[in-house]
Amino acid sequence: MLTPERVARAWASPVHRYCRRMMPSEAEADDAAQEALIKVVRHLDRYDRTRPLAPWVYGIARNTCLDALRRRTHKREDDAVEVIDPAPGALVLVDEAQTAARVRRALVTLPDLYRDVLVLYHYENLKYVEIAESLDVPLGTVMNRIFRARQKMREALEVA
Amino acid sequence: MSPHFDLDTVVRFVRGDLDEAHAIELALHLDDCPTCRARVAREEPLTRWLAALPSPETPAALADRSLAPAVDTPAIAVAAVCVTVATVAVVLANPVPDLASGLVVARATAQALAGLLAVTGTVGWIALWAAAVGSTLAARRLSESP
Ligand SMILES: [Zn+2]
Repeated sequence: MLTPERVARAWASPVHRYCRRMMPSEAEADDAAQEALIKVVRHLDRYDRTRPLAPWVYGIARNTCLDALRRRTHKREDDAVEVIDPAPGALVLVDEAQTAARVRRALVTLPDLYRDVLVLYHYENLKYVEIAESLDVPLGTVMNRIFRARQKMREALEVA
Repeated sequence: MSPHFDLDTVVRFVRGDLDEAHAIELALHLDDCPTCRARVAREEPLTRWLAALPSPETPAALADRSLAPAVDTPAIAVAAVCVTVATVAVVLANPVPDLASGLVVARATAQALAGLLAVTGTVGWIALWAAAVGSTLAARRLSESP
């Protein structure tokens, strides 16, 4: 049975994780995750139970994040992740925390469109078809976006 | 159909989450195919970088907060007004002779409404109890006046 209680418990972590990757700061991610999960729980009756749940939930999380990003009137530079850049092109994973910070910063600089598919594919382990369903776009668009997103990430990280 | 493996399969292979049968198939193919070897070599570093981002810790109260019932502010306001009006009406109709029963009615009304509207959550409770106490005090003052 798909009860609000069960859905909230099962989806709190994935929704929060997705928002954390989409939003530039932890505080904004927490707010977006809370807002998205409330929408998921309250609008559960609008979910078409013949369809898979994941694309629907991530769709709500995406719209919540994009709305929040649009509402940002000024870029909060102080929220930006502090990174001391190692030599450009360095393939060596310098230090775990520093690596994570670089990835996070590269993610933040990615256009929303690409960050979204990259996060869904890499961190939420969604299949191409699920991402296509969530975005309501053709499969080819998803494949193309993931390819471009990886390319942009490589440029931002200057790896390979 | 392309004789080579697609990006999705290569990335899953590099990540180690391709099922065993397909992973073996790809590994065998790599022995003979420089194109796919190059593709694996190209996708491997970024995949490793992406995996370096740790999973964030979910705030403990996230699920609970999303399950908290919506606070229906208009309903609370209406309830508070109802309680007050009912109390004032009781006291006006029966000012001095029977103060005690006036208070009993006022409190009972407020409590009944509070009970009914407890579903509106903590804020609902607080608002309704405030209304109950307020109307009781109002009843006392009204009945004290000659
Ligand atoms: Zn090949």
